[in-house]
Amino acid sequence: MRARLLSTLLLSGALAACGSANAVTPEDQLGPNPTLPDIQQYLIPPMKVGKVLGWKDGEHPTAPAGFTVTKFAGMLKNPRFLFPLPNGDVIAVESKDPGLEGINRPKDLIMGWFMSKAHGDVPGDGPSNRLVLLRDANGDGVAESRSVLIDHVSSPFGVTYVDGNLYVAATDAVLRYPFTPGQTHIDAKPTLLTELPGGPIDHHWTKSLVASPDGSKLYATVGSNSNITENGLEAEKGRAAVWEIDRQTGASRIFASGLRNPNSPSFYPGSNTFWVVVNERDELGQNLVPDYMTSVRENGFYGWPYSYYGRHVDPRVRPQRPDMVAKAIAPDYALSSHVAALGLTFYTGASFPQQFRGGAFVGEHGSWDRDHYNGYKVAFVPFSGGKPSGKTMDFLTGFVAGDDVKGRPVGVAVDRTGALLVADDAGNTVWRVAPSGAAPAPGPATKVASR
Amino acid sequence: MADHLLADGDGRLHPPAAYIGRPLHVLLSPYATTCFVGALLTDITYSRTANMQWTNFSAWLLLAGLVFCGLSLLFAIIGYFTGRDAAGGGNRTLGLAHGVISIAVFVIQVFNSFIHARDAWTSVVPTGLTLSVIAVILLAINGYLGWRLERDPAVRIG
Repeated sequence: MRARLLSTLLLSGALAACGSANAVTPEDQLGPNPTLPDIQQYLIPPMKVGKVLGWKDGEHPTAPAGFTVTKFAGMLKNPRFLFPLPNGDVIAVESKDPGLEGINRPKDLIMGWFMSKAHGDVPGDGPSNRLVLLRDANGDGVAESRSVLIDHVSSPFGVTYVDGNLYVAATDAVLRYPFTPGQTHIDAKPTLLTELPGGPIDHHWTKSLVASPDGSKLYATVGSNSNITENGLEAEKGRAAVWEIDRQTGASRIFASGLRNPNSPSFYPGSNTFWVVVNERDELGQNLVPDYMTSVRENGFYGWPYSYYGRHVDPRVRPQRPDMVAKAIAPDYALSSHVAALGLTFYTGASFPQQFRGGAFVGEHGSWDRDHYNGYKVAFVPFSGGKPSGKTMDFLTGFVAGDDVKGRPVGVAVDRTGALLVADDAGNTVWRVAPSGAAPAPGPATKVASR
Repeated sequence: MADHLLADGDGRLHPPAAYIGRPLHVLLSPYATTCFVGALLTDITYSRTANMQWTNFSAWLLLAGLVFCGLSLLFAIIGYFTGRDAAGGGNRTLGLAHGVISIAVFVIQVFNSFIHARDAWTSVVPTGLTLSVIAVILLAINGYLGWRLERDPAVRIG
């Protein structure tokens, strides 16, 4: 027993000392079979977040050759998610953390201060928690007019439109508003369709939303209420899951679970299968656990909290549940560790080159739980036959400048013209990426937009 | 005025204010000890229940204990170097051992606080609980040494 105690002490000392020793690189964790290093629990976990600088006039993220990036809309307040409407208008969801998480222990004081540096709060305390309608009537790639479509929503994130109704996922409920595309403002009071787990705590507060292809069901994602059950298992009821909601009645059930923080459910074009991007657990190492995207199976269990990436048991969870670990499904495609994948959309436009058709764009908000940045970009994953068919490529980069951060991508969407729109919450901007030939002249467009 | 004077161990009389200048660590260290013993008890409870409130208790107790322990060490060190404190007096070996163990407890509990900042089970089991046990054993030894020091007629207090 004495030897055990001593070795425990030595081990913890060694772990503190050898922080950087890690043979796995972020690139080893892209694709269907990521390399998973051993668990490394640090004395002080490596952390790095940058000062958020925002974008100066004329600056923009970098797209591959042949593409042009323009500022579709600036001067927003924490735009998190985008939803293009059938008439070409684009809804930008501005949203803020509801801030319901109390101080449970000394760590929370330090983490609160640390995370506030990283969370896209560029100076100014303008109104947020609302849906802004952006309109580019002349099709020049810049939204020349905007209006507040819906104000005062409780930390909204997901939004979708079906059949004369706009569905908004606030942090604690799915709300239904009567709506006709073309409207610039909604006065009508919402109908509460279904309550979702909100406060207290509400650790992962972004609830996203998608409608099934036939419009009969809605799927809402609900993230876990902790990193790894440190707020108690009872706080996790109905969480780390995708909910299926009947669009007419609001009746709901858990469609799939064990997904720690799933976001941006998106149906693969022409199929009845939706995919989500998932933020995996922190503080097991710089390269553990990879975030991922996966198709979601009905009644599927994907491991959280008991295990990760299939049956890799997380020692921090008690009581352990070997029965649940045995059921855990390994996800389809790893996106590398701590990239914070929040946005996902399949490319359904026609203006991008052939290789992009049907592939997935992933908005990676960027890491904090590493000593080198990972994420902070929009990645692209090619698909063929409804499955990922190759290596991830960087599509939109330049969000990081040295140690500083200019912006952080979140929601991604394809607009009416086939251009990719990217919500940048730290940069308070919506970017538009289009093939250079099809896009407006970049210089003037950027200037006009930066007013 | 004489009844306002207090006698020390050697029978000398001091005005009460002089007692404030006397080993303040003697006054503060019981608070630290109480917190660290409390943290051990809540660690044991967590390891038996996995109920998250107990590890949260431990984390706060460790923080409070470190504040008292840190202040106590600070005053003891000042006392040591200004020659006013026990270790500068009679039994040097005993006094130094007492001081070194106090510093060891502080360092161990700083580490322990970081361990307790982990999430869920491994914030306590096995490393956090182990460190809490070691710290409390050291505190018990130090309590005995402190008691010996105070009773040592060769030790000059104040």
